[in-house]
Amino acid sequence: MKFTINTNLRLLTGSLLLAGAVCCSSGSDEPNPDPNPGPAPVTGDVLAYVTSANGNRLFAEEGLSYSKVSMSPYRVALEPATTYQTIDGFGPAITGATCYNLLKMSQADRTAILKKCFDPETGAGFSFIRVHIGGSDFSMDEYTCCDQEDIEFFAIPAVEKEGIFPVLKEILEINPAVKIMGSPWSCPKWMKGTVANPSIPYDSWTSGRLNPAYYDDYAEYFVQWVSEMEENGFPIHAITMQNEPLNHGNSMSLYMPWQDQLAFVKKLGPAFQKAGIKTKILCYDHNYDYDNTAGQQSYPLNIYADDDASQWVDGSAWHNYGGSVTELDNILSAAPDKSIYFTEASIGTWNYNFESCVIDDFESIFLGTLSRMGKGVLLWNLMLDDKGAPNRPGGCTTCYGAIEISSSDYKTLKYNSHYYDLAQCAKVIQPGAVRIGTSGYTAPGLTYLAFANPDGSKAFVALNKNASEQTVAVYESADRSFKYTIPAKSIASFRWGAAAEN
Amino acid sequence: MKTLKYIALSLFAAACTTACQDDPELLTTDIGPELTAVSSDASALFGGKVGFEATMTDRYALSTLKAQVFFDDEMVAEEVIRTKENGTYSGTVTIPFYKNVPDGEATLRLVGQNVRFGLTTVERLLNVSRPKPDHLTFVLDEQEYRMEPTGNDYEYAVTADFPQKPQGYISTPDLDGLGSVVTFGYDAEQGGIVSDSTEPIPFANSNAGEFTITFNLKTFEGSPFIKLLFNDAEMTMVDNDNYSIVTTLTQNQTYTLTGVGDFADWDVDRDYFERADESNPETLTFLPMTGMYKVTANFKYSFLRIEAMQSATEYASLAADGSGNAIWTVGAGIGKPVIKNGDGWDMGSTGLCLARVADKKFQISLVAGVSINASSFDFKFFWPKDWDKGEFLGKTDAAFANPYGVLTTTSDLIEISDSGNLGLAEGKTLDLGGIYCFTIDVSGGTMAAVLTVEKVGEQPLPPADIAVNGTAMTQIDADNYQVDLDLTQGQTLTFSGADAFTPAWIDDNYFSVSGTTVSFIPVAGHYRILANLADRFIRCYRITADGGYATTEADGSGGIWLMGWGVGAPSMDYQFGFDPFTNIYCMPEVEPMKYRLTGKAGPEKGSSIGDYFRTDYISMKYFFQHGWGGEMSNPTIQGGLLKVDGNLGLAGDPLEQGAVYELTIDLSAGRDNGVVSFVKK
Repeated sequence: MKFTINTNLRLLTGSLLLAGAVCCSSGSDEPNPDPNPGPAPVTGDVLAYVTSANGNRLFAEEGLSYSKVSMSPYRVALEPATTYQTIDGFGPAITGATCYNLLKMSQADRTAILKKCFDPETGAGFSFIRVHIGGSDFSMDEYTCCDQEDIEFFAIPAVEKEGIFPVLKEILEINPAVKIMGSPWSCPKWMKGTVANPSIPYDSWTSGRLNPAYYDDYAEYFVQWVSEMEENGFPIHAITMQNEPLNHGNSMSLYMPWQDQLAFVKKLGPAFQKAGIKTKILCYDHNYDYDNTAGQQSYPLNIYADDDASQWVDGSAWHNYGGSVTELDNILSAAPDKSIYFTEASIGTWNYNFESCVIDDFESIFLGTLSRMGKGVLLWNLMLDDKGAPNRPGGCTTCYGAIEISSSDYKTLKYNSHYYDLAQCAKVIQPGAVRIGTSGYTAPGLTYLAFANPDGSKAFVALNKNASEQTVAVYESADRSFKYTIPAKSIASFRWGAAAEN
Repeated sequence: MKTLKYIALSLFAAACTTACQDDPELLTTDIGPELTAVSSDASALFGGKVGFEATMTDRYALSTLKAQVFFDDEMVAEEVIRTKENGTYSGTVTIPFYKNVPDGEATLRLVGQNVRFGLTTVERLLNVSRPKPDHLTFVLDEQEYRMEPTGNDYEYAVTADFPQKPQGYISTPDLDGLGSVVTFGYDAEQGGIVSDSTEPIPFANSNAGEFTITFNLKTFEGSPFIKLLFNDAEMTMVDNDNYSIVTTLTQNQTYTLTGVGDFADWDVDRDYFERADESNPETLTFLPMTGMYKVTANFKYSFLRIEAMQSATEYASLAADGSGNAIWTVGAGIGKPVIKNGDGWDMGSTGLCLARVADKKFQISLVAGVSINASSFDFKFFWPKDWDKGEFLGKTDAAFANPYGVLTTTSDLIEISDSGNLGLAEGKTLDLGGIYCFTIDVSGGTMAAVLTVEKVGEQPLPPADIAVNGTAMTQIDADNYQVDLDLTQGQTLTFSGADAFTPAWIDDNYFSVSGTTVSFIPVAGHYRILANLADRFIRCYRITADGGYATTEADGSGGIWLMGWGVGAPSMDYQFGFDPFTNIYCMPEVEPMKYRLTGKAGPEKGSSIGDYFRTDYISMKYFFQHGWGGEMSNPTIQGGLLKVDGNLGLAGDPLEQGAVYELTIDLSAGRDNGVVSFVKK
């Protein structure tokens, strides 16, 4: 008998022969593995990307054809007339430590990994990054841009110009649409007072409080930083006034209760306006539980309650090291017109398990904030080495980057859960996308959101937390619908209908 | 495709036969039966049945005829008919009733199969549409209400006089004349109304009375579900009785709560809110310091519970220096708005949050007889709403394993034990109706907390004029009354006053009720009669001349007290247990030195009033005083149903549920020579 065997049949035959061999444990030759044909370009009406908790699929790309979705019980209809927030983007922090590791790589390897992360066509399309204004607990030193007393001495130091700027430049060359957010970990020490009495000088990188006598100088510090960054080709989309303002204990830190941010933004806002700076000013930038600090509950709302201060504040920024994302419901209900950004979460020895982190973080950080009007998600270090380094004494020595690089060869890479979480959103949700409504099928353990991209395409991001697969049938119109079965404990992202089709 | 199937099945057969030579030969074919669809319905309704009839013949033995319904390519229904012989088969398959799925063209697929796995498939188009029956039925307990179309697409409604929470399910009539009825109930996991369920839908209105219930047969949306607005923000339903919201409350700012019909009658917690304008009861002024709080509207007790929060989900706490937003209290004899809603040590369900009235100053106001027992209580303070993570002791204790602070008081009314438990000072009671403010000052930190207790006002207690034989009963607290009387056996008693008070249970081992006549059963003596207006129970126990609990004299006279499991009154929900301060029972002396308890046997769960004995388990003892101390000592057992093994327990078979049993303890030979009889009457 002679016949042509197709791929499906070959797999079926192989499986059956193998089944027979196993059945009797009598030994049999394994079927020859399929010779690796190399990655073929994925095509289809719909591009799907899937990451599974068990690691079987890691940002795996798949092309789907439109299919009929009329009476499917799994039908989820998009409702583009219902619109929510506009998305700024998704990405990691480009810290001094990240840049150190990247610059230890060969140019070719570095370009490859940055393209893999930031190129919207061939890579994951990361579209948003966070940098520190001055040093941080993952910079290469403790410093600010004005360590000599007098704001006249402001200058972004060489450690950044040589150690960070080249990486930023390369990222923006790969993806010019990348937005940058900046956050200081500390003001210059000469501007610091004690926590109890900020007028009394306090000479320490850790803790302290901004001396009101230097509010004007510190406002000028931000003006100078934004201006110099832009002069170097790095437009600054937003700043937060202080990273983790209720955290006294970081290697570089500044205690900045809402009363201080309220007072300071009244200087900073007018200074930006005077300098013609359009950079957004965000307040807070810390945990959902306000670090259990008495009198600091609802931190941003206290600032919004003061009209003179509120006029300069675009919104609030959040970390997830304490409390629950549901705190944003409280903020949102009281201040629906203010923006919300998620600006930091880290993985590390204290919490890391790929299987749970990739799913749980996607649910709470990504879907959790995006469903609560979040405009973007920023995670912590893009790249640390296999020792969590470089890091600073007194800072985090147990953190993992989204990507881990071997400190023995600065070539071997390991992709952690945060890389995949970011990729699953950044790849399909473009900067400028608008979240739109949906209606139809719901199921316990299934969460999804839909977006209209500025190029006319649509994006649909879904999480199946169940231990079994879950089908969804996405209906945009009679000729733009598709069905997909999401594997158990997996994230699935879809983009379809680019402008050319419209 | 057929070729592919043939090859695949051949290979499967080959794999099995070559690899496992002892396996029986698997005979297959790719040729299915001859299948002719004689008829099938061309249209159907969601929730309705689709009829089909098909003729199948084959040279091989037949296996099955399947009727499958596909929405797009999803099989949503299947009916399988065993087909042993060639012939014509018919049946129906039921279309599921999904929400939101539009009307459309489905596929009815008939699949015939023989024993060699040969398949033949015939497909027919099937137009499926959502039914619009002329009515729906809302089923509430035993009552049915007809829901009529409202004119809005697929919406039905009924307006009637309903209880505040008419929690029933909805049913269609027969949709297609084939008995196709679909029900709609609630699915908590889905968080909404689903088809094919009769679980009660938690409909709720702001108050009982005439209102409208609606249901949409397409979207499965229904109403009313209470919509409570706290300053225009919707409160979230926690369960049937509770709705909550976490928000920032500002001192002296006014807030409104709308959506509760009888809100004017609600207790809004005097520590947190005051109604500045009684003509506008929905408007409340917030009294404590500004902060984040959870406001919970509790319909069971018509009460606003307020708790300080650290974030949307975490309760507030204190730092060691006393800064922070909350101190919590839990224990016996206190509860807001009434003792009953807090009496106990479960911090999660009964913990109360003290209001932060000034920096490092917290207070809770309690009304004696309403929210604190006037004569006995036992509670303590914590700073997280949790055990073992920070509690106030009465003195320093280096050996104490958990975080603690020290609380002292200047009050002569209250005593604080070393473990931090608060109780009344010796000889002190609270004035019934008195409003007592407990204030804790932690200015010196948690290790130097100071409690002050001040009577800040009075509140009239609910009046109740209850008398026994003309002697007024004394009010103990909001619900409890008592009177001490000398009574004789067979004496007729008259309960009067409190028009609304009709006993749900009167202890029938003490009182014989015949019509409106109540006779006293035990021997003559001094007794205390107790009435609880909340439970509507009347109890009795024997007391000494000076009002103390009766004790058993050496000759066996006086009073004996029963504790244990598997015995309780008025039902097994009130087992006596072995804690004398909860539910100990004084057995009536029905003849000199003979004590008796008669009642039915019932299950531990779901027992009825009058079930004083548990069918399958008893472990009890009698004592010579109200509590531990002197007790029975190896009494003689009669009747064969009980044995003594330290405690009195069932000797063998379980008791007969519903049968009446009589427990008699005869101490006529002296209290240490008891004879225990337990017999079925």
